Amino acid sequence: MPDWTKCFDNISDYKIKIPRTCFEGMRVPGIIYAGPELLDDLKSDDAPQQVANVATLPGIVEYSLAMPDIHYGYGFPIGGVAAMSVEEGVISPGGVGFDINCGVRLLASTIEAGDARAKADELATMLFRDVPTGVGSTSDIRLRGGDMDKVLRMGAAWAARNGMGWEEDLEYCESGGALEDADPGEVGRRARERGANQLGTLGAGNHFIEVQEVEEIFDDRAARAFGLEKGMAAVMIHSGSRGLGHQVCDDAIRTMREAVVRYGYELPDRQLACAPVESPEGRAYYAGMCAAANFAWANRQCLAHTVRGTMERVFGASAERLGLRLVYDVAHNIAKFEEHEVGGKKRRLCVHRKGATRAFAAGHPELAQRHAGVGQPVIVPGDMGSASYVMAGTPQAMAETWGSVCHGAGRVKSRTSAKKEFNAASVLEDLAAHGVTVRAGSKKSLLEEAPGAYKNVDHVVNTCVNAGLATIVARLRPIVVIKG
Amino acid sequence: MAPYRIVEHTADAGIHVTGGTLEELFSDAARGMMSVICEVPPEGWPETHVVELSAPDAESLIVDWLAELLYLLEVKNFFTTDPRVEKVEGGAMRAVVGGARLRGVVHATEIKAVTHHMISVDRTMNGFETTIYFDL
Repeated sequence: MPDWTKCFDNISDYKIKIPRTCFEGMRVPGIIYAGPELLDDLKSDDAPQQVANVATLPGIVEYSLAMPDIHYGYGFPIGGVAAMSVEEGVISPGGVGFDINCGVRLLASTIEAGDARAKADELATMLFRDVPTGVGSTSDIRLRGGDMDKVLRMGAAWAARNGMGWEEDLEYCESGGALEDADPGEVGRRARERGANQLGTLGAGNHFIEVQEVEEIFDDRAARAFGLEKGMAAVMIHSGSRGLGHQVCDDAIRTMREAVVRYGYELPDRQLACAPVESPEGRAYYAGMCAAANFAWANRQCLAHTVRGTMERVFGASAERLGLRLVYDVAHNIAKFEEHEVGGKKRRLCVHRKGATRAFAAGHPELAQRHAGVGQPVIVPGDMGSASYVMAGTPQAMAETWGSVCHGAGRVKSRTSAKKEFNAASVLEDLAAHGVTVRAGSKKSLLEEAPGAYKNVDHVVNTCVNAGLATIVARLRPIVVIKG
Repeated sequence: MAPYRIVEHTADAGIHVTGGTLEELFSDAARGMMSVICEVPPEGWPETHVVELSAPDAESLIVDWLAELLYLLEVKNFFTTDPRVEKVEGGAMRAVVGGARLRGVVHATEIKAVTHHMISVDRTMNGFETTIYFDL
């Protein structure tokens, strides 16, 4: 592994530059946001190479960026953000990832956290029973006739308008829970087959549902706008576009690996396969990706509906009475056309976020009225033993990172070493000592996702705050964790 | 030497595979991938599928082959245990894949996809080798 620290040019204690001269073919410099406590992890990971690789892509504008939860991925690093020129740039499925619109949604509640803690065991058992998890799991939602096309066009609205949610949920989803450029015609047969029975399923790996306590509020005004109150329970849901999205990405890479040869691109990694934004291949991928993103929003909407039902039964009151309102739903694997300022001029760019969250500042026209004065809610899940955060976007993020910030704690240990290093009994014991009740599909998935496999989320969040990319609104502690 | 071993990756997982022939390489890559999903093959009804594929080069072909087995698992509930790759030649392959149709949900590692990340099928003194990463 090359010693990347030789290349590092510290701009500040929280911002590192990789100059263009560091790696052949870089068209722009790389910028990594990492505070002092994250540097050791960064030095022992090959992710900076991937930041440099992204910087070689045609049409990349200004920087190849990485958020503080950066770690080694495939193609782009996880935590990677890159904006491409619409006229001269490329769109890359590797800059979005297989799990298109993997994301997080947070439901607030008026349930006292103490009441949720008292029913933790029952909640865990019921949620694990009600939410389909694991390989091969299917849901009761049956898509008939033209339903799939409607899901792919309407996203979260399809679920909400078919009895699985509230109309106001849509207002609190990024992009209203649907991208209008979706073309169901660009979602192939296999993708549809894979997604057919998966709407409303959680999946496995790092996907989860957590019942949490709003432990601390750091910004009263923003917390009020987001509907968060100290001492109340909240529910966080992390899932994506399931097999449908994975297949849309797979199909696009297959098309683009041949397009790369045709367009004469020389790429440092085949996973960065791409095509011009405005080419037939680029347009087809974007339209299919939007449809898969809509499937993911529908999926999280269905999961939230299941969770509301479970909470109703456990607490013996309606979801409305329990105040289970949507705080926000954010995507963290997506490519979008957005307007940003470049050299003092507004430009429309194709922004790739792979393991990064959109974090628009107060006053941005795309924000819900309720968030207009405080900025977009940013949901940052930590590991299952510590904490998660809700933050808000800032003008500095708009100026420096195309309105983007971290998406989580970021892994630091491979799944193999996590399995070697930890044992299930002590992980469960530690979690119990922290007041966390867990239901996981297997010991293996519990160990792979053990808290010690992740960076300290406090360090990641502190870097974002100290670099000016976000402000902290609230900290949440897990009470119940459901893993696939 | 074992024909495959798990390769560490911060977020995901990979396998390094060796084979005296391309057919062996492809068969063992399939065994390696299935071992990432589930160390002990789950029970089910015996079934056989024939897989025939073509791609521009060996790298694309081996990724497509493994992706095909993932598709069979997710859509047909078919877990590969006995991948017999009969022929890999001129960018095309044929395999008769034995395995089991699963009876229900398996709590195993979910591989979302086979990536093209740094993929390269290389000739060695003893045949071929490659490293393939999976998105988990």
